[in-house]
Amino acid sequence: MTTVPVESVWRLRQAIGDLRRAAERARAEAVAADLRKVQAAADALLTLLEQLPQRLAEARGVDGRRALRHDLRTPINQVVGFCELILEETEDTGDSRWAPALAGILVDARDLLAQVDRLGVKALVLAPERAEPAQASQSGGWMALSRTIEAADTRGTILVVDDNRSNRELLERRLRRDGFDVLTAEHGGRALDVIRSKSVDVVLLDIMMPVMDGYQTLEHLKADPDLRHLPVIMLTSLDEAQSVTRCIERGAEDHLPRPFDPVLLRARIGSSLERKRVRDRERRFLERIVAEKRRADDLLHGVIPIGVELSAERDLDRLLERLLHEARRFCGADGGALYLHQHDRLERVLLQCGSLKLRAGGAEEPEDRPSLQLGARAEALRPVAKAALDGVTVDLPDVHDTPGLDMREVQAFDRRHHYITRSLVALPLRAVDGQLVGVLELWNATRATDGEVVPFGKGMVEVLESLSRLAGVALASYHRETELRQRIAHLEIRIDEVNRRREVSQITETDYFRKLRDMAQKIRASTESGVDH
Amino acid sequence: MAKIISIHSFRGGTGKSNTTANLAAYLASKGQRVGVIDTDIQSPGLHVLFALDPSEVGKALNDFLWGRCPIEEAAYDVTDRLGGPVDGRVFLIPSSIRAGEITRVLRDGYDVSLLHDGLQALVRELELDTLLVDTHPGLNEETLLSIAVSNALVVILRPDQQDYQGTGVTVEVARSLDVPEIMLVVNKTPSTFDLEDVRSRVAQIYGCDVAAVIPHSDELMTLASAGIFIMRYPKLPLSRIYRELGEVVRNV
Repeated sequence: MTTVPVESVWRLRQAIGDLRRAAERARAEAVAADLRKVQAAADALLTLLEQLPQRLAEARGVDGRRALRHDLRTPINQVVGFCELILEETEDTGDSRWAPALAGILVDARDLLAQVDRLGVKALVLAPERAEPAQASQSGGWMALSRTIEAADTRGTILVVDDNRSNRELLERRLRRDGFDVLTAEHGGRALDVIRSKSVDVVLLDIMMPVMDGYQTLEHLKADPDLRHLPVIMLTSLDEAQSVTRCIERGAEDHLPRPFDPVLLRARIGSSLERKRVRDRERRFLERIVAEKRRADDLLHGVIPIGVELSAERDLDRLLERLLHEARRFCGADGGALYLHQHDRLERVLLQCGSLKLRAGGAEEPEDRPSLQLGARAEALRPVAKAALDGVTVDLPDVHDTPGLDMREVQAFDRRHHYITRSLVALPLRAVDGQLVGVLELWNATRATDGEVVPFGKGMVEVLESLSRLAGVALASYHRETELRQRIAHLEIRIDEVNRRREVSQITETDYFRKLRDMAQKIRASTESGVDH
Repeated sequence: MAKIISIHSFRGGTGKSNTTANLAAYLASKGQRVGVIDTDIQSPGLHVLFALDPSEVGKALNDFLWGRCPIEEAAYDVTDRLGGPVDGRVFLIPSSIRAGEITRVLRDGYDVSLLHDGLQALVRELELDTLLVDTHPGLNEETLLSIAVSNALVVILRPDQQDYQGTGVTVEVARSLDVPEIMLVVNKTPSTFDLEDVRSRVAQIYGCDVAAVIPHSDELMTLASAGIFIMRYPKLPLSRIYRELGEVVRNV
């Protein structure tokens, strides 16, 4: 077994300490603070190395050795990560004082990481492949390279899930530098809470964590239809090739080997975000197609047949009942009222409210959404009056936010019945010539899936407008037909046949008439033969 | 060939004279030479509509028929009194025939064809295209006579029960006289009625064409009594109805 390079770790620890002190002397507080974290990571590594023989002896099986190796790599990765970050941040501010020393520490730390990996090959791990070369970030040139990747298209919220606080902080700072919003979670369970309560675009997920590890978290995410499409990038160690395979099989989008190459990190997050955007766009498109199809289906299979049936209904009460019932059914509206336009008044002829078990005709409970005078200024701002006067739909997604409208009748209704009206829509019913026939008022649309009260929504309002057009025509033709029937009843032409025949014969059965008829026949015969008298 | 068209109603007050005057004016506006004979002695109205003062009237229809005067002396050119310019001419032949005079003569063996000859002479002398006969209400013998010699009969009725019965008799009698065309005009139709509905109902009951359904309006009646409506108010809807009726009559 190769000896563990404790000496090189000591050298590294001292170089870090020297640099920290220099930063403290120079009162470069931010650099000094970060270097203290780097130093803490180096100390942790030293402690681990001292315990290594004992830990190796205790390590059971491949998993045990893998865990040990993970523990060894973690502090070195932190040293590399923080140093790279300090290097970037100081270069951004034009402070090049620390760069040479940081570059030296970075070279040593990476060398150390390589040594641990080599050590691991023999002592710990069966056959790790170096999945990603970390060397891309070795020269100072990587920063120039990193800037060639555009940051503009990478905005999004990243959730970092790692049990190690330093790891989380390191990633968080790096990602924030790249312009992302960052949320963190210390284990899978917490991560799921965050994802369900906040908008997250990409998840960076550590594998080995207490409470809920990366695999379990991944399984939970992929099993949830709402979260299935959220891209997950696994944070892996170089020796976790098998784990990577396992994660990809379970639906992880990608993986990132530690220590993170900043370019690679950005590139993978960027491509995950792009894929998510494409998927989201597809999903929205699909949702729109589904909604359009539902609307077309509603029209074709719902509204049009109802319109036809309404036109055929000969009983006004049944016609009105049916109209209100169908309109409510379409949008799951808890309540609705129908008003008919008569002599500049809107007479409320019907009212229904499902949850209140209210079913009233026009005369009952007149104080419930009462009839109104259209010409009256005092009532012109009621939603129902506005729909009638303006001839357009009044759609109120939230009845508590309706500036300029008079909602007192709605509030009175709510108070009287201990009810809460949330969303409301009022639609004018008009004849083909545009003449106002009435108004349809619906309130509290409910979602089919859970009965939640929701706004009526654009698609639903369009379906209701189609139904209102058909209903307006049906009502207008009903009125016209009723009026006609009344007129026909008035115009009952009765002719007393017996009397008529008697009167006719009194005239026609006289010598005079016979003579007249003969003469007329003669005249017509001569006219027909072309002889002019 | 000139046409004789009788305009009749079972009872008075149906707006028969008004309709006749408007028809005459319409036909004249279409370039026709139109004669109008007023036989409605009990409620003469035509001379008022044509603004002809009784003092201006010398000889009348009966004078011509009995050979007492030539036709020119019984016919009065009222074209300038229509209330507006027309291409044709309108001659009014007022009647002073006393009720029963002609019929008594006829009953006494007088040849009824004489009236027809007289009407034909009138048509010929005045070169008429159309002769409108404003008949006496009811079905007395002189009315029957003018119906008998007519090419078309226009029966005017109001939508009420008495007129329905009387019109039924008139139409039946006119049919047995083989009048080539019988058409009905429903006048003074209350505004609560649907005009098209009235038209189809009446046509169905009597089995003949309804040439016009004219709505009633007190306002219009006031305007109408002051002259010939279509000349004075050509743009009002009632004038359109009269013109449509005029077209039907012109195409008889």
